[in-house]
Amino acid sequence: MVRFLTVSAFLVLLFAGSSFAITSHEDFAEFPLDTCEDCHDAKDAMPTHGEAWINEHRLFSEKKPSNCIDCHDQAYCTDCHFGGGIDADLNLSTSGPDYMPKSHRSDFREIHPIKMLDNPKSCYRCHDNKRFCSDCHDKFNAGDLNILSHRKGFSDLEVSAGGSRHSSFPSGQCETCHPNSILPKHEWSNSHAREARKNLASCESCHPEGNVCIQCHSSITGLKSNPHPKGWDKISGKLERASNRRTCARCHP
Amino acid sequence: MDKPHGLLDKEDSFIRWGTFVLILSIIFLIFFASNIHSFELNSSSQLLWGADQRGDSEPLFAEYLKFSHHDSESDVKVTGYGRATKDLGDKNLGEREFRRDEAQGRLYYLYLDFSPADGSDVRVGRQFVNFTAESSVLDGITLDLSGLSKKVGVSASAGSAVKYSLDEDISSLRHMYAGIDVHLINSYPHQMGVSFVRRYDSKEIAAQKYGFNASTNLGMLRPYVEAVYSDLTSSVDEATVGAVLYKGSFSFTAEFFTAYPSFDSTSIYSVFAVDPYSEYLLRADYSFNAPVTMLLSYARETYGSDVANAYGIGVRTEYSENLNLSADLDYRLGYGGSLWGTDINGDYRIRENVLLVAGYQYDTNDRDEAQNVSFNSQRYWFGSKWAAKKISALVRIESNSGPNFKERSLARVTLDYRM
Repeated sequence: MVRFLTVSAFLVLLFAGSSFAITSHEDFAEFPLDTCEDCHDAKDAMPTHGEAWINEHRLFSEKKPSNCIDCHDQAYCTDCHFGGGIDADLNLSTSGPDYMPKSHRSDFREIHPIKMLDNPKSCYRCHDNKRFCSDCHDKFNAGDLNILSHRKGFSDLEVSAGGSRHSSFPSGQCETCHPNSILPKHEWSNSHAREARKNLASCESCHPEGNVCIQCHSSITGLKSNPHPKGWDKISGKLERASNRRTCARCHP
Repeated sequence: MDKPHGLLDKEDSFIRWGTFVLILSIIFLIFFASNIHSFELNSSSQLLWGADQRGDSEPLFAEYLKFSHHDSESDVKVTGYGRATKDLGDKNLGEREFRRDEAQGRLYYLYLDFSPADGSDVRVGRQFVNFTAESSVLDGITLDLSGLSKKVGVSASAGSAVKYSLDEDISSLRHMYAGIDVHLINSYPHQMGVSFVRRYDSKEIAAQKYGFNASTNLGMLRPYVEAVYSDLTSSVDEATVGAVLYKGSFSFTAEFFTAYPSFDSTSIYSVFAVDPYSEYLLRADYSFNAPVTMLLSYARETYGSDVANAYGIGVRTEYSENLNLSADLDYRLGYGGSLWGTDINGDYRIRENVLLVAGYQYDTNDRDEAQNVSFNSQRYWFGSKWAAKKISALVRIESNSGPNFKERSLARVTLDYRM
């Protein structure tokens, strides 16, 4: 990290000696949009606010000083990011009182499980997965949420043909049939891990405290299946100190 | 489902819907105590009809207020924006209730701007802060020192992070946020910034991130980079590297994006192994006020060892001075399932102060778990807006259908006032 900061500081100082120009657009804020091309086209400045602006604007708004504020107030940002609608476009739909941005097309409740795979980070730039997502998912029956691995979870599986379901056994008995955390290759063990590794935040949206996860992924109960990534020994110390062992203690009391 | 705790407990939240009443009080205090010419107010009163996500009728009343007041003598500015909503529907839904019936409020921002000294600006109150390392809505303070140096600016923010849930906004002293950004100023076409953010969950450090962004112009080429490093998980939280090649109204973008899910140290999810997400993007855009603008894009998305391909095309035309039409089509196939959808809409100004709008959206998706069964969803709508100098009114009607609803209608009427 010291190297990161050193290199960054060097680059800042290097560029600080560069040429200056005016970047404020405040004087043009009330101009009609077609006058923008007087500079952006005729003077070979980069085109801006094009068809892909909804995807591009993040990096422009993050930089400082940002000239977004020359033309837009904060409501312009918060209306899209947090559902406001004081001056909403007639093309925008609503979900209750919340206005939805153009990215939330048709029946977004139906298509959002696929849309969220196009860059999983994008959902959480506006929505808090512990609050917003779980608030909504909590309104529906878990069985109605068609997650592949959940279509027949381990609790529904019979331990043998015609035998008892897994849900009838306490977690302390897992190792009786699964010594050393060895699982049969049934659908649950494969597909839930595949889904979880690719979008773990979606697990958190229904299980914000992860209680269901540590039934198996704990050092004290269940299968004691190790969930940690490779190289865990190198990074666990930082997390342990930062959380004051609060997280670790849930599985390693 | 697990019930969340830790992020908010009711007794921890000190800002509730009553904040909206506070805004109103402040507005009227300012209004009656100050010069009316320095006061700006936007109001929008809205009636929204339709069914909620479970199909139950959910008529709502919403009142939005946005205001600013600039005292030129002391150079102090007060700015605010919020809304209050009330569900006017059935009070006897019990557990089926999707949102709470009682009046709700959402305060987007309410802050005071002033300059304690030359070259420094202070903003106090609820505000949106946007650092590369991490953005947040804060109840706190921002100090901007961009005027102290000709070449380097500093911006620092601290306060309690605000979260918006379905029904409320939550601000708790248990969730503090502090960030600083050091960046170049007056350096066009070069731009660079370094930022650092730390968040707390009670006394524990929940996250600690470093951000970096830079861009420049090399003739007709604009390379750019942005990276966020999560210190506690020792991982690149996300990074974007790309370049735009442009000439006149044409631009071509090549971009690589990667993200590695990182969680707060106080979340059990911080201990789990995850796969990185990466995206290789190519995009051609002929745009900016040309009579016809067009967009073509392709993205190859990788999720560990799995892959999806996403294609997009969009066209917009200013057919005449009063008529605009646009259409988008995208198709995605790969990990998770397939989705193709379209969005077509147009607006026509029949008189200088009357606008008509209509649109249609259609999606068909086939998720992996749906076992080769496709689901179709569609939405169409039309609306009209009439605007005078200070007052405007609009009406909009929408119908949508899909696997969740055979037929679901929404409508809204709004009356806006600007002072």
